Amino acid sequence: MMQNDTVLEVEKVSKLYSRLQGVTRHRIGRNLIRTMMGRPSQPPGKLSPGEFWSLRDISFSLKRGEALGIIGLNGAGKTTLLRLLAGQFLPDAGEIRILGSTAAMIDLTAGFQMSASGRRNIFLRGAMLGRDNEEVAANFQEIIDFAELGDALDAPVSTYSSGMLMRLAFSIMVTMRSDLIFIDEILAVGDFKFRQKCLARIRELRDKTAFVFVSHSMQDIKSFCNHVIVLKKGEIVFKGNPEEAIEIYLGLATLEEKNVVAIKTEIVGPQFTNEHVISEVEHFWCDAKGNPISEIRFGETLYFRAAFKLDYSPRNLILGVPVYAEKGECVTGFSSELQAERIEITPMQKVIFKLEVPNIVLNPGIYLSNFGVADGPEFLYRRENPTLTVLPTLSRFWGTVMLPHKWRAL
Amino acid sequence: MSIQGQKIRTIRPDSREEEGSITAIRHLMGEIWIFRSHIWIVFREQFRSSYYGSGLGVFWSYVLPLIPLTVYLLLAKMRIFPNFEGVDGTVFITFGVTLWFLFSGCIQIPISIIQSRNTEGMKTAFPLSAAIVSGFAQLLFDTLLRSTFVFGVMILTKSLPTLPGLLLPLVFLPAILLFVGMGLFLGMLNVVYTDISRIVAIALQYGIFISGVIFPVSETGWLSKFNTFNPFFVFIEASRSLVYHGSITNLYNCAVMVGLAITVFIFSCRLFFIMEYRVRGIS
Repeated sequence: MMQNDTVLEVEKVSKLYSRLQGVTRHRIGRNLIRTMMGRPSQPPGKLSPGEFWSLRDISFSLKRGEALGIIGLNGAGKTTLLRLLAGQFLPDAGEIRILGSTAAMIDLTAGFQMSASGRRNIFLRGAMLGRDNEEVAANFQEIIDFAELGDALDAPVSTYSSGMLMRLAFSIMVTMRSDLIFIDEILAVGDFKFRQKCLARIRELRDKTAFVFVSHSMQDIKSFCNHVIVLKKGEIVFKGNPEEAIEIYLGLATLEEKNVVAIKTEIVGPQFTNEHVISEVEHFWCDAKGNPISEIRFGETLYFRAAFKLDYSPRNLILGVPVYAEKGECVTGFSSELQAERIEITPMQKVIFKLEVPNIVLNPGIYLSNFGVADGPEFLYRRENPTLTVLPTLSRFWGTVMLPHKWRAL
Repeated sequence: MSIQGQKIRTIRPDSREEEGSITAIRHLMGEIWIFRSHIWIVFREQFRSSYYGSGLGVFWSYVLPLIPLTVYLLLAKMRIFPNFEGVDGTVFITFGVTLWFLFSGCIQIPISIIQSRNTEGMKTAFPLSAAIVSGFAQLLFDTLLRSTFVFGVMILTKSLPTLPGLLLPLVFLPAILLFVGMGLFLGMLNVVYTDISRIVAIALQYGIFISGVIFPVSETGWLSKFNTFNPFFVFIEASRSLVYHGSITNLYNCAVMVGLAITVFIFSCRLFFIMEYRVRGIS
């Protein structure tokens, strides 16, 4: 029995998955034959080769007026969980109890008739949410006002950009008043202005509606969610307040291997070593004692250690560490070029350097960086450093850095 | 506990399993009723957009369903098919072909829609039952168009139907139940055993020649021995005798098929009802 105001209860829900369609078909085939013979389905039992639990023993509940955030790395099972909640397919174990009407915004184009106009698709999508024409017609003006599509409303939706599609889909969904709304990452495709409008509308609906959000934007999660679930490989590793959840997520997020390859290559740029002149290179983020670290808390002192051997005496040795945020923007750089004294080294002798950055003001997130060694304009070495994760200590933060500041009444 | 009368919806691995056949049929009908607006809009949009961009546009939606009938009409006129059982050859063939398209469509539409809309259904939680019905709307339109054409041929050849021919829907109803039931069953099997749709397509291509559609079964030699078990033949023969001669000549076979139709329809609806959300996403 659901408690007062509880609109969603999830109890020990698990979902099996296989990337091999043949394995899935085989399991469903067994199920189909049992159903044809009038026998009940069996629990999954032993997994076949290629099968794995994409979700395992997920339990939580949600009350009206609450917003639940689901965060996790790619492949953690966030969208699968959202699809199960939206009733798009059945779990393989456990139970989901839902009180009231639901609406889901998981796939942007799903349910749209691409050759039909935006105007007709409003009715189509409304009908898909189980609303009749009269109900959609009654809300029609509100939908088109919110979507701001202008003349494009009568053009086929196949001509819309993904942002326009999102505006249309979101407008229909929030205007149709559901008790429970499931939203996947897709809000990210809207422009800034519309995104703010969406978030404002979500705020307005908060009293009457419960939300489940999947997002990679920690700022959105922090702003809107009362509770957050952190998923890792299909299991809940944390359930609680957003601040702690984000901290745990960032701790997990040492970037997936494939992302490391794809993102790092793009962000940190070309990698280079002049093996004729430089050797025995080591470099990493470290603590005060010189031990390697991969995480640091906002406000702490950050250290970096580098060691190498040059086989000649450089005329103008420069050491540098450019730092990039997760999305690729260069946040800052630590260069020896700014120092008054020149760095002198002895050829063929290993030298060790230590960089100290007191009171780090980088906001929580994942940071990529390079270590560069140059002789004047000529690069001798440029290779990426291990990823650094900054963990939060402040309850709220904005942007990439948080500079020391104070408001004072005059 | 409820919100404005809404009940708690429970989603479990064995959801729907405890429901009986009648509940399953009632539930499917309920889904179709809830999504009636969507069914209508999808049919209308597909009708409009099928030939979008072509010079003649929606005109094709009216012409193409009639093309097979005109081909057979031409062959009958060229005396390739003679008059059968006292009925003008053109009427015999166009009437049979119209019924064939209706009955075979009832099998093929569920198979193709379960196959093609399964993934989309998974992304929207939209019931496949409603998608199948919107597919039937197109079949209904094509059948009405062909029926009008056949009636025109009947008038031109002065082979007007008998008055009891008005009872034709009573033959159609069990036939449609049987073939829709077969379509739902084979559609679900096709998700798991993907060769089913191709086997059905091949069987139907041969089936037209052994079901009394183009020429009487007496012309099919030893194959005619299987007619008692061929539901296409039984229902087409019953329809034809009712329209041309005013009575059903194969009443016993027809009664057996009605029983079979009800059984298959009930069994398949429950199977479809239970399996629909389990096969989601498998395409």
